Amino acid sequence: MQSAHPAPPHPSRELRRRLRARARRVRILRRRVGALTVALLLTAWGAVFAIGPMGHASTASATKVALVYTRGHKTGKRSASKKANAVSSSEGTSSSSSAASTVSPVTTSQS
Amino acid sequence: MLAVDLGTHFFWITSRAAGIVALLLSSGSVAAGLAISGRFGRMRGPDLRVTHEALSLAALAALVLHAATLLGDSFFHPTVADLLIPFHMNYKEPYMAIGIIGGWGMLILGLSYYARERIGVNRWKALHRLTAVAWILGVIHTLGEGTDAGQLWFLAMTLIVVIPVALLLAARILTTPGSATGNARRA
Repeated sequence: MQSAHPAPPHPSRELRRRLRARARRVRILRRRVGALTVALLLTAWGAVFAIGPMGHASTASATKVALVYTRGHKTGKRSASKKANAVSSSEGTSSSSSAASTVSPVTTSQS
Repeated sequence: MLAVDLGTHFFWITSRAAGIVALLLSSGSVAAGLAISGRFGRMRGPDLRVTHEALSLAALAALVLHAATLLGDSFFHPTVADLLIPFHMNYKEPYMAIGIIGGWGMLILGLSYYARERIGVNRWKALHRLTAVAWILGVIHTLGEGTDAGQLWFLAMTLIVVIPVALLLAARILTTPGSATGNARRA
């Protein structure tokens, strides 16, 4: 005689099914966090690149940056001083001398 | 738009972006951790635990990227020791040192999860609470030293992620049975 209700699944089979479902959920969550991290990194990179203050460039391209300054583009005063400090501490040159070298071509062009 | 010499700034921009991501992910991770141990996290404990772990590992990866990419910055030019040892680089102190100490704290306390059996679960739990202190040091470093800290968008983003976590943390401290407030309430 057949029973009206289907037989309950075997406990070990049910356990395996639950473990598989849990592993799948864990994989999905980890993948989502990984995707979120990459998306955040790209967005932050874009934001810093587009609207973040750039300060001074290296001494090699400092002239170019000085010209950009004179054209009225706003840059972060804070980061400019940071970069100047970094140069003075790491390369042993004074920030005032690097600032003078950046400004000099501008002065010439204006006079 | 500002003309940016990408070749010169690539590592600097990447480091700043990684720092931002580390702050966002670590805030999320601390929030998930507080939710696990708090009242409202019990319902989906296992999922929250996995999310907390994944967010922590991602935050640590971003933190390592934040420091490692600075090594490639031809202008800032730090040494490995400058980035690993507090007060080694005499630059924007104490915020630089605070960031290094916070970073080490995050790294050691975060990865200690995988050695919790060896440490002892109760001792590890007590140690793991200090991760919140490392996160606070990270926030101080961000606001004190971050190049973008003066920018409105950056401040808004930081406050949006930091305030809810800070409130969760405050609620947790105030409702912990061993805390001063808890003792005062019982008395």
